[in-house]
Amino acid sequence: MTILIADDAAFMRMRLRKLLEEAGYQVVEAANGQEAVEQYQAQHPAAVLMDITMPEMDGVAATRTICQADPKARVIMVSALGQQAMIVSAIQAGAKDFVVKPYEPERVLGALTKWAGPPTTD
Amino acid sequence: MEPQEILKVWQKASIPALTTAGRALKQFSGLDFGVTETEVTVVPWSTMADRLKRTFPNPLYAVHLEAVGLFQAHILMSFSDANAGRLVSALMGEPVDLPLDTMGLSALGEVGNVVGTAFLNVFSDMFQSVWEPTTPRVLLTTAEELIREVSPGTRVLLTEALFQVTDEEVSAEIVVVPSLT
Repeated sequence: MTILIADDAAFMRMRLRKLLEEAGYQVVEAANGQEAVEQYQAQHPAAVLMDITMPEMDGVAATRTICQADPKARVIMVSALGQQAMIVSAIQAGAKDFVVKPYEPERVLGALTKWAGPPTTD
Repeated sequence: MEPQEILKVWQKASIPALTTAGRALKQFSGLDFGVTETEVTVVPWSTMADRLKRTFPNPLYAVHLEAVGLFQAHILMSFSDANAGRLVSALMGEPVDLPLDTMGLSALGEVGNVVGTAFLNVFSDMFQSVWEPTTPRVLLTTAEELIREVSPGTRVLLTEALFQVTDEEVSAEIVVVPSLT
């Protein structure tokens, strides 16, 4: 099962990749919102872990674009912005869940299991 | 809101923000992390400039975030190159070389992101409004170059912070500038 990680911070992508691969998921990465949209269209991942503050296109706009093209897309926001209004905009854009950074690994894996299912081989 | 009022509010936000940031960094890194402030003052940039020249004889790392909300502010965190190296080594779980590589710069940027966002979340709670940070920019620069970014008379909030991670103590200076020239 493939998960798309969209985060402009290479360090955060590295940490999330390690967590997900150890849990048994396959991972593809995007460094901004535009790349996330392109990777989603190319890879059709089971779920997306999406940061909010990114260059080129932010995570809320990328989520909106992905969910308009695929209403069944499972986008989980992972962001340090724990502010109520941000959470509301992300959900309005189509996000299914919201994990506030810094996150407990179990919280991220729990959200993935809930929305995409446990890791399986594609 | 006037710059002086802004700075007073930031001053009030410093202690809860750094406490939150310490908790966040602990969760983020899985390490025994804490952040405390050793001094919080409002000073003219010229004072800060003297301090920068004295404290950072070598190249320094600066993490810059812009915050947009009820008013605009810039958050600048500066670390000596040695302190940046020690902090990133602790985060990466292995010694890193200086100058920091792309991954090291990204790790330092995330520390800035976590600390800056902790301030903004305290603000959001205080004002019941949304604050949006830009993505952090990490610069390897010199005190002289940094000093030129702000006009000497600008009043800034200076928070001297002490990061305690595992057995290391790393000092950093967090500066809030209401507007850059």
